[in-house]
Amino acid sequence: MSNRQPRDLFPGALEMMILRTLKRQPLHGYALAQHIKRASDDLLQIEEGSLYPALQRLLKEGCLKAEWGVSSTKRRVRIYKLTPAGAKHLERQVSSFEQMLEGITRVLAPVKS
Amino acid sequence: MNWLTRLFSRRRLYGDLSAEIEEHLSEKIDELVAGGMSRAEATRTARREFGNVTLLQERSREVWQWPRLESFVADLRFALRMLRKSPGFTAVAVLTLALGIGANTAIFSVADTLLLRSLPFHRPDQIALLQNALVQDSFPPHDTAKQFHEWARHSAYLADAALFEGVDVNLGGSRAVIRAHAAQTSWNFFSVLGVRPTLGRAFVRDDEVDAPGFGLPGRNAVAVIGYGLWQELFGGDPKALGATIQVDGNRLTIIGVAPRGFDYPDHCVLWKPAAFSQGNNGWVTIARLNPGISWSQARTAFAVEVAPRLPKPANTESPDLAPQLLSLQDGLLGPVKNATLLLLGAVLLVLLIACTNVANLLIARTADRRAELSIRAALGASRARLARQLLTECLLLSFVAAIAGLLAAYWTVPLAAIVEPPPLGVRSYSVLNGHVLAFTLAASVIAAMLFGLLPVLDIGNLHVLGPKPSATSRGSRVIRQAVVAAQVMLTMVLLSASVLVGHAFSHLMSTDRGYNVKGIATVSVSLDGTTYQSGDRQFPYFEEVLERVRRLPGVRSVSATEFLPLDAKGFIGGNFGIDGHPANRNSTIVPVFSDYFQTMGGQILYGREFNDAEVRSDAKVAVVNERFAAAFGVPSGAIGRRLTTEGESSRKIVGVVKGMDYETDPTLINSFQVFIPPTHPGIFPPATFVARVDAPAESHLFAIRDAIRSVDADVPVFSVKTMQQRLNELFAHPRFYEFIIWTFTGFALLLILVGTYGLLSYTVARRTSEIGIRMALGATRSNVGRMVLGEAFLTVCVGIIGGAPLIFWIKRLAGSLMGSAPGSLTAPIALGALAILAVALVAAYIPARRAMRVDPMVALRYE
Repeated sequence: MSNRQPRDLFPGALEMMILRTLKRQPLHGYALAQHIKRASDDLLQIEEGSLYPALQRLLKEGCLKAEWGVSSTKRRVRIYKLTPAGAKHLERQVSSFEQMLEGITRVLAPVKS
Repeated sequence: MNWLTRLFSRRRLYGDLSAEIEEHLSEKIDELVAGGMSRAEATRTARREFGNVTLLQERSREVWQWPRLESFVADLRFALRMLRKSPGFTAVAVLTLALGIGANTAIFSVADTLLLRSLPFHRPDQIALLQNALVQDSFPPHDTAKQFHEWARHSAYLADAALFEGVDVNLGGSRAVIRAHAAQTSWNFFSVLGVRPTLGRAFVRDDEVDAPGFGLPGRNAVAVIGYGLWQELFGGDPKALGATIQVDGNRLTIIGVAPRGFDYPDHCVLWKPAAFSQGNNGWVTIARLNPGISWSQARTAFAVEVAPRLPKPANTESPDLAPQLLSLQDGLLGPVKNATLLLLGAVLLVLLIACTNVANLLIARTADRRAELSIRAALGASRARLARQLLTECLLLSFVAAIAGLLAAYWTVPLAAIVEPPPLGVRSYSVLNGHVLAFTLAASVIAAMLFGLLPVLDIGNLHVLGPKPSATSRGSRVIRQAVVAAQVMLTMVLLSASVLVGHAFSHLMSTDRGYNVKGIATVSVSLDGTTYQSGDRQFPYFEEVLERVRRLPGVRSVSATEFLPLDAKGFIGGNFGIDGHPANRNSTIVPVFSDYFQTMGGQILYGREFNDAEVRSDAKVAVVNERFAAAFGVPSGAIGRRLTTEGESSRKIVGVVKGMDYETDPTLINSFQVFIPPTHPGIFPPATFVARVDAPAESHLFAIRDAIRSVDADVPVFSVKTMQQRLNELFAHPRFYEFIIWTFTGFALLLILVGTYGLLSYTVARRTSEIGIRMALGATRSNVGRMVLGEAFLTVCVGIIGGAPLIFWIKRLAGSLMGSAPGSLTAPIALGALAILAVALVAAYIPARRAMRVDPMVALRYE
């Protein structure tokens, strides 16, 4: 058994997806996991559990807030919400990601043609 | 949230986290069940898709922690629990390491003080000592003050140079006369060293005189006294300046007080300005290098300067005295430097052996903890994480041991001062300084890495699927055998060094030095500054003392000499010859009274020694040693011939003796010796009475001393010792080294005992079922016993064979430690091998017996 499974594509990607998802609406952990899975059409193999360390990191950095509440299925769950700082952080992350992506695409483009 | 509130709200955070994860799983399971899965299937799927719950929880918690620190603290607490759980293992490991680290700390603190600390002088790295004993034509020129200072001023490589001559003097003034060490120095002695008196002034140029003897009176009759003497005689009163102090009966005016701790040369308590005179060859020269001149340049310049003044043919008998420019620090340390480095090497070996032993214990323990480690690995601990845990345990062990070792060193280190007095400006050896503590810390960390390495590597054999000792124990057994073999190898080196050193030492103590050490009492006196100082009163004093001592009960014969064998401090020599033909080298001249050889138990080969009448009448007679006589033909033929030397009337040779060792240096022993009766008037102010007494010699010392005092209580009497005591003091260094080396070796052997025992009892325990099967299949008890002993024998033999080459290398080192040529190598190797084998077989005895008593039925049921 290996202890370290590929958590996400690159460091910070999972955090970015969490923030992006929570920007639309506050969610609890399980719903968040399901949403990311669905949205990616199961292309990304993400261990559900690996959400939690990422959530704790974002909580610690003040990008998220968490509150205990009751879900639609009447479960006591902790609902995560984006903070203004989190929104700003997401914007920065996304723009730098897009820049990176564009750079990579340009480098890869000539090979394809 | 700042870190403080975070710290306190952590418990809630963690609670939230696990509750949340629980909810996540249950929600998922519910959903899967709703989708038509069985509950058990759903639980498995949920868990699989979630991942390692424990690990992910830990990862999540770590976000809020200082993970490295906290996991270290957790490791530490766990390590403490583990060590407490097996007190036997912990005690043995800590004790072993504590002795190793403690011994290292102790030796290092001495080495640090002796070798690394600089002298309390200004820029001590620039101060040189000129070793010029063999240079002829009085170099540097010292017949007059002017000559010497001119030479120093014109030297291209020396900024300045100073001379001094150490003398033992009678110090009087306010109280009873005491014997003390003093020095006469050129006026610039203090400025060359860069030392300023605490009080008053140092000497100035005009304080020096050109006059024989001690100079005096007038401007020369001044002195700088040591700080200790100042406290003792004047209670630290500044009024001491201007007061007078009696030195060998001469009144000197105190003009300065040396700084506290300054007692160069040789625990000197008083310095007076030099009196230069022709032919005084007792001067020692120190110098400060010219700034900008390197040591190698200075050495070359010195060699060039002395080359034309070297005797031809070159004196190859005493290579240690070859002219050279030494740094003062090296010059002061002399052979102690090498000895200290060697002891440091030996003690490092001890620590290495201790480490191998602890490594061995640890490997066994790690193997026994296989189950625990496997479980931890199964729960997601990585190999590195487990290694960190084990290393933390090692570090903890090492630190506990280091503290115990420091304590041990703290109590034992001051003992070293008995043998090797601490150098200038240091009152005693201590472990409480930065260097030593840093060394101890480094030693313990390195030790932990060393003994922790193998057990940690052994983790590599861990199988996560569960404890399967039989599959892996073979690998770790081989490692353990290798460790014991390495231990044997290192011990072999130590042991043969001990045998060599012990051999050299007993050789040193039992050498025939030309006299019978047993049953001699010796007492020294000095007539300097007493009413007997004047020449014509000296002889009657000696006669009176000899007469009174002779009458004491238990005294068989008594005599006196200017200096004793092995104590040629006041060395006087001259170029003697027979019938006008000079010998090819100088002879030592020893003035002695009648009955000297009889008293000392010397061997008179031909002729006789002086009689009372000859001594009383200052007869022109002499006794020579065999070597001297042999230089002029058959030794017996020297009797009746004339002993001649330039500028003095000849003496008739009345006896040829075996000669005595006047030098401790083996290369100088038994050179040419000439014994003459004390010359009248003015015999020898300091002298030593020797008496051959009934055993035990110690019991007569005080009676003899009192008899000498009864002649005149004002004459200082000192060094009241038996000849054996003097010899022991003289060889205190080798004795100490021998003691230390043997202690180390004993310790190493003990470790081998423990190591071999540990290895074998472990193997026997592990192989119980195998042994049971063997016995069930028909192996006899002696087969099994032989198998266990065979393993011990094989392991030890590998170590012994591996250690043998190292011994050749150690041989030279051991020799230089004892100052004499080492004996042959076969004995140490054979003895070492035998001792180790014996120890290993003793250690193997109990496990072998245990193996032989294995009951096949019990053993197999055990499985």
